[in-house]
Amino acid sequence: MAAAKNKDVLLTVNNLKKYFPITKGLFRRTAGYVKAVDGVSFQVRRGETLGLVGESGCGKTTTGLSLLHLIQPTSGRIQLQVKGKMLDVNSKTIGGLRREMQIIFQDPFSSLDPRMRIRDIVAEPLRAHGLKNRQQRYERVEALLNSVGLGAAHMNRFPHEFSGGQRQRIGIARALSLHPSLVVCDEPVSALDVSVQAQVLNLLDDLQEEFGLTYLFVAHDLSVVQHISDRVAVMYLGRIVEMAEVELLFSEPKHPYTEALLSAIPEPDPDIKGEQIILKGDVPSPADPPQGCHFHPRCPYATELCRQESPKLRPAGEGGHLAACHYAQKLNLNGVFPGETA
Amino acid sequence: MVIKKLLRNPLSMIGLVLLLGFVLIALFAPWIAPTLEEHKNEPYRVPRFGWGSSPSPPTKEHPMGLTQGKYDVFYGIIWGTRTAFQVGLIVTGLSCLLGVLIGSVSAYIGGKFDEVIMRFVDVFMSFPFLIAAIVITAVLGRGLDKVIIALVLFRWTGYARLIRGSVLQVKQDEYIMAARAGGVSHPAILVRHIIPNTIFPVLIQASMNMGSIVVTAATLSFLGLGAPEGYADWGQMISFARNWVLGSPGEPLKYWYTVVWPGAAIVLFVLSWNLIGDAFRDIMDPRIQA
Repeated sequence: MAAAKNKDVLLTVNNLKKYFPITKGLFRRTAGYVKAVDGVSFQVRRGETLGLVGESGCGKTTTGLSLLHLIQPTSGRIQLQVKGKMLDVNSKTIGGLRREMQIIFQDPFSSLDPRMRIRDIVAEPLRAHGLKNRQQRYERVEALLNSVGLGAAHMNRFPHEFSGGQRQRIGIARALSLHPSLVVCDEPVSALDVSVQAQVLNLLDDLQEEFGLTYLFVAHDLSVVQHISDRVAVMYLGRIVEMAEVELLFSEPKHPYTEALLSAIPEPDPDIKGEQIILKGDVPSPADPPQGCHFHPRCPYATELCRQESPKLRPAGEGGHLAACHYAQKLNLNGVFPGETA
Repeated sequence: MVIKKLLRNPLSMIGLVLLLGFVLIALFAPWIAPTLEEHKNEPYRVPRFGWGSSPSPPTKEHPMGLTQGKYDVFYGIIWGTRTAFQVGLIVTGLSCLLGVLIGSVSAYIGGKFDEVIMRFVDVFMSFPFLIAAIVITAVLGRGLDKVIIALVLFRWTGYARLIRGSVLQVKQDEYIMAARAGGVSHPAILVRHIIPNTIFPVLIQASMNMGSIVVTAATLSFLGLGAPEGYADWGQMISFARNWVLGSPGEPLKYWYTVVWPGAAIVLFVLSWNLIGDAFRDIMDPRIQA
């Protein structure tokens, strides 16, 4: 990350943690913690898309929600660049920073209030931020709906009159209503049909250019991430295990977990027999993560060192390639070649 | 849309027609049963015609007869309609408001706060409703206003419980989180998102309760805890019938008019609200909703 010049950095996250208490018994005694996010650090540069991938339950959504303080993070420092200054994002300042950071939700069916008209849904952040004039609000809404491919004709309708893809467009229009600089996209296409996924992804691409947006793109679908991201961070059990430019990560993974994920991408050509790495066992419980490297019980290359000592995220190659593996430099892992996946 | 569906359902139509009838009776009471000149200032006082204690059968002047103490049954029924609406609407309105406010805020804040409020609700709910109402009216004294206070005090908990359950569910929805991401304040989220999405079961319950509130108020009147003697109130009309329900030896139906008219008024009033509430529930059921 040393390569990133400071003025380019829009968001810095330092050692972010979110522990959910597990309560037991009549008096809600805290019996332990689920370490959903366990010390995550990364930077996002202005104008780029950082993909955040991992299996379900690895803490990627929690990371996204914690950034916006929609979930109160347990600890860690989040800083956002606003007009050239790095400002701390915490529970006191978040109110003023909401217009800079917005979110697109995963489920287009539950993220729109079923009893509200589209114009009021999209205008709600404007209203909350003091745009009192109803006429002006609706003019803004119309412009926003136009830019996401909907129109004035849709303004008076209710959410149930729309398809999943259209609903997601409405969610996008709402997120853009305040002209944010950072948009957290929390699996914005995973609830959509494949045919609609591409449309929404292309829309996000176009909007990024039009409004100069920066995306933190949370997803579990590697082909989607490859399509939209400039850089990718891979999460496993609440930690980032590898982070690199998208081509590098896909062609030369440095962490065995990334290698396994890549090998699991389905191959569209039935004649090509790819070598699939099937990981042993399940993801361990984040309430009781393994000693040492979190991945060692499932890693085909694990040694005694991996069982004892937890590896740090360290430079593992050119172009700011980072990996949290003791053997990142020594292992020769298989990637996929750019363009090989759909 | 709701109104249209209400009109299409035959049962709710009956309910609406009955209710409309009661509304008209209440509105036009001064014309249907004009107040006597000497009682001009207290129209809710049921006029007496004579000084005997036993009831007298219907005549032309008194189409529903005179009940115990020679009170005019017809006058009591007509003006009692106003009393029924007053008690029903005020009690339901106030207890609904109180219940929705406390229940939704408690559920939205959640955690220990919710826990404490709900234990408080439990205390109220653990009293048998009628007994509690009797104790309250006994302590505060006789009168319709005391009955209303007693009923509100022990009715809001049901609404609070009802809306709390829905709020606990709705507050997890992503659109609530989306509103927070948009910078909407907590009170605004409660008013604009949570309550519109949770209020319907409460409204259905409220329309069902309108009838039973009137029955309970009538019960308290019957027990002599409600309206003062001579006040136009269906419950009291029935309590006047207490000694005459069995008729006289050999003539069990001799005094039928003392109990049938006020009884019918109460039954029809309760029925109209229940039919409307039932239809309301069918219409609002999300599984039936298109």
